[in-house]
Amino acid sequence: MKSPSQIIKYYAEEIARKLKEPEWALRKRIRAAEIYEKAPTPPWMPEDFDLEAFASKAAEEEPLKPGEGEIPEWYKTILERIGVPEIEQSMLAGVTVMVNENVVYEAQKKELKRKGVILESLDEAVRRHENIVKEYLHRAQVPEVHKLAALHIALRRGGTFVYVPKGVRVPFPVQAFFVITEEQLAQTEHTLIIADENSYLHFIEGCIVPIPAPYSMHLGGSEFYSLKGARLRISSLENWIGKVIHVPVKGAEVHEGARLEELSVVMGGIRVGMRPRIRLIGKGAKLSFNSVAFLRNEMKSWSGSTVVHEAPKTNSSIVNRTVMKDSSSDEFLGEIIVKKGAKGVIGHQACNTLLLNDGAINTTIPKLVSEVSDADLAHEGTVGKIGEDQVFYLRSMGFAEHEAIQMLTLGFIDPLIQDLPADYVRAIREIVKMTLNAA
Amino acid sequence: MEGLEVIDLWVEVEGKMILKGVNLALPRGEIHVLMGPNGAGKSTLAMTIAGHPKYKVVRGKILLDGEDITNDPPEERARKGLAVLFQMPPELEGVTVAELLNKIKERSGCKEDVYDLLRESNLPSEMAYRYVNKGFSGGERKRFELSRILAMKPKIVIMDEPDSGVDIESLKVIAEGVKRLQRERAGVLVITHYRNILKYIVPNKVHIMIDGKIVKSGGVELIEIVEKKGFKEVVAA
Ligand SMILES: Nc1ncnc2c1ncn2[C@@H]1O[C@H](COP(=O)(O)OP(=O)(O)OP(=O)(O)O)[C@@H](O)[C@H]1O
Ligand SMILES: [Mg+2]
Repeated sequence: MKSPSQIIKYYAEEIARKLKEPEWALRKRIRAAEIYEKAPTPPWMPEDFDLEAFASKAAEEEPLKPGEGEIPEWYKTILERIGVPEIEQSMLAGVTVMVNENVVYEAQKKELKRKGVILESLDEAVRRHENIVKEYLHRAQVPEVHKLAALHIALRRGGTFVYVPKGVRVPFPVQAFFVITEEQLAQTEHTLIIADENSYLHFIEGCIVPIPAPYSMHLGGSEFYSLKGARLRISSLENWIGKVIHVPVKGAEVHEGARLEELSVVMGGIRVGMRPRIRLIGKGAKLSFNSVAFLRNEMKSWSGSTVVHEAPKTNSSIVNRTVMKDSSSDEFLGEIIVKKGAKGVIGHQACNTLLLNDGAINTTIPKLVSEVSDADLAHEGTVGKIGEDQVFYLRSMGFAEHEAIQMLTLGFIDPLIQDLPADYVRAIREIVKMTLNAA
Repeated sequence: MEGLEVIDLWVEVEGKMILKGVNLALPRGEIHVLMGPNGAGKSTLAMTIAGHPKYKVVRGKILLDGEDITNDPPEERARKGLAVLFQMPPELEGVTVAELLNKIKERSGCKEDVYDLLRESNLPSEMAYRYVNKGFSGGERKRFELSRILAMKPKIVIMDEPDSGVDIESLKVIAEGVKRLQRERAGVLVITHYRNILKYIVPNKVHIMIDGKIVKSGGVELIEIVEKKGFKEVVAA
């Protein structure tokens, strides 16, 4: 019988062959396959995980995508109601050409090209830009963390690569759909974004319209690099339909004087496990990481993050807001680690959970570890229901109880999403409303 | 009667009887003032009329334009034309002033622009994008309460201390609001501890509440007696 590592290697080689990858990239896969067996098992690993089935699906010829004829009527109704951002609409209709022919986006793509911004599928970038990709790929997102991190690296396929050259500022938010269509839906897609020294980029990853996944487990990955003096803003939006297991593996590095501002919005799925690991490795590096999650039905979630302060005067701020309904459960593990020599660190995290009914369970575990004495670390956690006074105040203005709850629930997440482009804010709000109204 | 009628109202809060037979009639188009010492039950009356679930009506009833609303949920009362200005309105994080006012307007059919509604209360237009009551000063809270009440186009308004903790400018703004509501044929009950607001509005009636009962009703002269001799003397007078 083949060992797990042998199974993974077999499919890793098959994927590398299909993608015509250079030797160095294959070596990263093989190494990860070897680490798989020794790596710890994350708590969100499905109990009945079938490695062979997963790996063979990841290696299948064509990543599946819903064809226009296959989109069910009810799904189109959802799209109409939430007022999907136009570019997402065309992607979901499976009509690549529409995206490519859209005048506005075409103009923006030209401008990016003129500035030397590289924007292409990661598979292509691995072949064409070894000089950049080799150094960064799987440096922040490493295989040792746990089995799924290793598995993702071995079976990586599809996804997006963005490189912003030194000093270049991209004046508009760049959306993943600029680059790809079907590759966004690959099971093990990987996003690699590098903002080189003193550059600026706002990248919007994923899509907020519900994604009908053509597989049962999504093991995507992402890596964000904000190099010296750069400012990198990332908004990741994910909304899964049906019984999808969503367990992305994420890592980031923030260098000297650089900033990383991340917002993650996760909705849908039946099991979500995600704890990004973010390293602040240069003096004065700054991180702001906000996440919003909406859990319902029997959803199980493992959330949180690990922030490692490795340099002096680094600053991190983590805000996590989770809305929980029905009998969902969430375990938040917020870890802040300060390494030796990292003087004058500030690390604050807040985890606020809103329970919409009895029966939903939240566990919050703060873990603050410091190897230096002068670190300013703080954790604030609140778990509660919607305030009765607020509900009554709104009812006294003529709003029914469910309308009041809807307004206050949207209000709970609003401070975190308000900086997104307006049509995304609107779409998120509509989705939350629909989710609240659903029985 | 067109207006609000409170008939022999007995109200219990957490097992304690607070209102002990309150009677009050507030016709539309009139301004009434309600005074009384701390703890007399004024806010309890306001909250009971608003329909707060904590306040249990043990006996008596509340009529709005002749219709019994004693058992209506709060939103139903509001839709029938009742509005209450809160003594301490709560913060609504994440809900902007503009969003709230627009939603109220949608329901009430109010045609006034959000900025105009804010201007009515002398609030700057930037206020529209702030979260309701979040970080508002005491005076701003009261003025915002006025704006959202104007948006509701109510028939009866109960104002619980609209004038406490506000400066002279805010006081004038609120008094103007009361007058406007009266012009729009609303009945307004102003609960207050001070006579200052009476420099700007002329009440049709003054009621004095002590220990859960209205012990005296009359004209503005009652206020003078209260100021000079205290609440006890009013009852005797
Ligand atoms: N929710 C409550 N729980 C317990 N007791 C209450 C509650 N609300 C009011 N009371 C009590 O009822 C009595 C009347 O309070 P109320 O707030 O109505 O007085 P008030 O006349 O408005 O006083 P003030 O002038 O100080 O505003 C007080 O003794 C108060 O402690
Ligand atoms: Mg009071």
